[in-house]
Amino acid sequence: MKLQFGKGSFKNVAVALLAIVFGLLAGAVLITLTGSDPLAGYAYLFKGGLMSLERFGDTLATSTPLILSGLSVAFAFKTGLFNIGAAGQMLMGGFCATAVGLTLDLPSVMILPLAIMASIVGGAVWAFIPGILKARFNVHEVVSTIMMNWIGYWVVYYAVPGYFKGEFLETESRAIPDAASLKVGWLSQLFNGSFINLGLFLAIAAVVLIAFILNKTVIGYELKAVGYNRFAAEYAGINVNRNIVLSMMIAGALAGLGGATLYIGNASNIQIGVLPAQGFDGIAVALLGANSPWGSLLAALFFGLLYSGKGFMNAMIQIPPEIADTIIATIIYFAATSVLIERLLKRLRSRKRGQ
Amino acid sequence: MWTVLTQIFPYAVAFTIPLLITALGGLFSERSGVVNIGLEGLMVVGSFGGALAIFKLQPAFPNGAVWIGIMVAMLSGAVFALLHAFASINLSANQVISGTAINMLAGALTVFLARNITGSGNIRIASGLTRMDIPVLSSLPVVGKLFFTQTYPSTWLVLAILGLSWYVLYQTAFGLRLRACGEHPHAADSAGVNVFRVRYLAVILSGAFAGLGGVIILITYSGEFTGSVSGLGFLALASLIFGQWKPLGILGATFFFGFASTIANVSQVMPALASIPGVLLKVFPYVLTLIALIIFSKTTQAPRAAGEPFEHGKR
Amino acid sequence: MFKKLTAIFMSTVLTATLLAGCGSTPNPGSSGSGGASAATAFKVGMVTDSGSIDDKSFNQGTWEGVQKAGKDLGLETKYLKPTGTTEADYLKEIGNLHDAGYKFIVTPGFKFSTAIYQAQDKYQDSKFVIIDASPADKNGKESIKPNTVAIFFAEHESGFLAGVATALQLKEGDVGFIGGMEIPPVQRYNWGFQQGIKYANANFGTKITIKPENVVYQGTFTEIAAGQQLAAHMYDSGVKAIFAAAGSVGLGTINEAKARAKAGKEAWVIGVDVDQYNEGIYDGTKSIILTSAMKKIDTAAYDMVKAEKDGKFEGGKAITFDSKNNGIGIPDKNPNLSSDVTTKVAEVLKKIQAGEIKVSGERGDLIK
Repeated sequence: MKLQFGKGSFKNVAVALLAIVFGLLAGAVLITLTGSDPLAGYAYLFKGGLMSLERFGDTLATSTPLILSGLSVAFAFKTGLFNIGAAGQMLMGGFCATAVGLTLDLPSVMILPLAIMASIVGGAVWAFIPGILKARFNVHEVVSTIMMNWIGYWVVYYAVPGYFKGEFLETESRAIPDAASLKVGWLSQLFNGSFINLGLFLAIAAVVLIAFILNKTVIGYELKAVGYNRFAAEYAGINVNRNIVLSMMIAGALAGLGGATLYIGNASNIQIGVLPAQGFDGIAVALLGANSPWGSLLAALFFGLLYSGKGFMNAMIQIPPEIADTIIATIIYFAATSVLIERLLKRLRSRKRGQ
Repeated sequence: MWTVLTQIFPYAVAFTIPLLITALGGLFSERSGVVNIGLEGLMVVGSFGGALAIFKLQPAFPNGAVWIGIMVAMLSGAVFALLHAFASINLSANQVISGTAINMLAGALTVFLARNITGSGNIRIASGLTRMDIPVLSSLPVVGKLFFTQTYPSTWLVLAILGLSWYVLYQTAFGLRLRACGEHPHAADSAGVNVFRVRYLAVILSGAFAGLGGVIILITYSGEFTGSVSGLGFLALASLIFGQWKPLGILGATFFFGFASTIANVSQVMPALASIPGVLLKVFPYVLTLIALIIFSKTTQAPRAAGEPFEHGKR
Repeated sequence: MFKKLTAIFMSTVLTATLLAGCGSTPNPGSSGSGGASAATAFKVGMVTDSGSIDDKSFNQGTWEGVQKAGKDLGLETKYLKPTGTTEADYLKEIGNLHDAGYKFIVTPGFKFSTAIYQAQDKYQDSKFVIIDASPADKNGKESIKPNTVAIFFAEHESGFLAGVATALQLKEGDVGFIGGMEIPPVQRYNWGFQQGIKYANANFGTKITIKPENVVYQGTFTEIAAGQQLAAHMYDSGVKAIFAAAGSVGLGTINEAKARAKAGKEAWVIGVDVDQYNEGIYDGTKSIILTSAMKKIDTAAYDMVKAEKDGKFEGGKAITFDSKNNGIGIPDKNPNLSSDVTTKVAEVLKKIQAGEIKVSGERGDLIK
């Protein structure tokens, strides 16, 4: 398969890697300040995510919702939209999938596609509203998606105890039946009992599909054109409003699917009173992945590794649990200030040439 | 209904004020042309700085500590905002992304520091500000009961800052320059305005105000730093847009949020409202904001250059 | 292009693995005092529930017990905070503790129920203590394996004692209840409190009332502002004391009571889980905490670790901490209760211990 990258893709990769290096360096300083050995710490971090087949599977499973939320944010970015509402879309997608799983009593081959479709529709609907508001009324999507996050939060908050209440607990739904779970026996056994599930394949399929849409189709071209210059696109005869709505809906569908991988994949019920943090981490993933589908995949795997390994690092050496979060935030800041890194690269290159 | 209204009014105001001052900070930043989505993080930083100062100083200065805490909070918010200013002004970084990084960094770093300095990730303060009735004014009919009873001193401080901000923005040369930087930075530049300096100042102000917002939550109703302000920074951002980037507009928008969420919270114990399904009360402020944004969309007043990096000579 | 990218990615992975290889040499137990006698030395781990370790209640109580046991018995201790609140997140941290050599694992909270159900089979060389729940599969079928102890508290008895104390001290007037989420431990506090008030009214001639609208579950353990607003509304409508079993929501309630007390008005809070007297201090020495309905989580955690150390770990059992083993109660000393009240409450406690008073852990005809 031939993969298409934009012009600046080497630069993007270099920037992302350098941002990671700087982030890890900053983390090393903090670890040293708290009196531990950063090298040992990082060794445990990576071991925690990779040292056994089970842990490797867990890392992949941890990455799965991040791949999709990152893809969601990245896709919207391509059209010049900032989808800060991935968390709400994930929640609604996951809620719809859970609802299907708890309501219908069907064999796996029928209920799983239905639940997955439900998650996609749930996420897409939740993003359609900000999309149409942006297209028709020019309402800023940052505000409208935040509002949709809270609306989703409260809808789930009341709907779960109202309709899908667990037997003893008000705060979470009943567990979905095995037939409606993305976890399958052979995959868990392959990875020695890890919670890895079919969600990973859905996520990878989504990456391939989105990369294809963006790079090979007219729709993708139009979406990018709108993102690059809205007015020029309009002048070129592209229906800008339609593309904005479409872009938000696809972004929402991806996040919704991510919700399915989270709530009927990694977990087996839905809890109330929490917006999935993975939705917000999607912003970081998209950013580090330079808003490209494959970049998002790699970035999500990296963050999945960090999240998966940090517990083991904490268990092995004496450092506060916030270190890993600080490292991630630092990486994002450096990725955001990529100009700085680009200048650094340029200077290095010109020095080389000077020799 | 009137007694209920007067009863919840002080709490609605208490909830409004941190939102108001934070949104006002966002207003300065965005009016100068820098989108600041990091308000949430800056509030957290202010809450942390304030909590730490008050925690350390309260044993020695039981009365002054809170006010020193307020100053420390504003200062730490301002300093942290420099990160955003540097990224978005000097490096022409994507401002939304830089702001997101600020949010992530603030939550993680402050709890990390709190744990290393105090041994706990949460900092609880022994006492905050005391509510008081304003003499004379509180006995006025109607308004006395609503506005002048059970008020925090910080409320008056924030309202004074609001008035002052309005004056600075619309009645001074600096205000004119600031707004020009947000509308037509290149025109402002050719007219001799130092766009860089104005934007820096505006972002620093937004940090100080958001820090103040964070510490006011701490010293009025929460009493504890926890590394989060539960989305209030984003709500402030929404209020800024809801309020159409105008000081009085955001006063109205934030008060609406404060009042609506207070009603939703206490509806559980108010027989008159208990019959309304909780979910409707809870989503009411958010749905109404969306509707309001649609209504105002025709006359949107967004600063034209907000979000665009400024570079000399770029036309 | 893709080749280049793959190369870069692979080299990162390689470096990582290399790094990981280097790290295997240093001694894992780099901290703590591992100097205890080798035969009985074990390491104690804890995984936190959704709140932080500094929640001044559930997590913190457990952790303090674990730490104290670690100090007294010379054991290494460690807590981990999961990245989320799903079963997978919990299992991952349990696995991390296990792999790092922490083979005695304490988990506070009903949310661990399904995670411990799996962990007790998966890690049979480890011991587990789960607080407030039994291990159960996802259909609610309970099973406590020989390497696990489930701990319960009789919150209703604790609430009952606090209710009696409140009624005796205030003698007449309205009181209220603010709960966090509507989960069994919080509900039991509520039901016990109401029974306590009723008991005092019937037997000590107090005239305390609870109106149905003043018994609420806020719905979260986090919304401080809502706690303040609910409390304010209750106090304004004549409530003199509020029993707040609601995490940070309760903190909002305490802050509101403090603000009122500073202004010279009567406003009391009954604390929960731990003795919250110090949280309610205002004007230097006075506190608005009338009393606290405690469950001694720290003692429970401590006792379990000690039992393991002494070889008396009662695996496979569910242990209830109640009035009989002093696992619950109100603080011995609280300046806000008169000595007469303290004596009477002590008598009531004796009657509960003797079984003369039965406190029900069910709702029955009580409010909510």
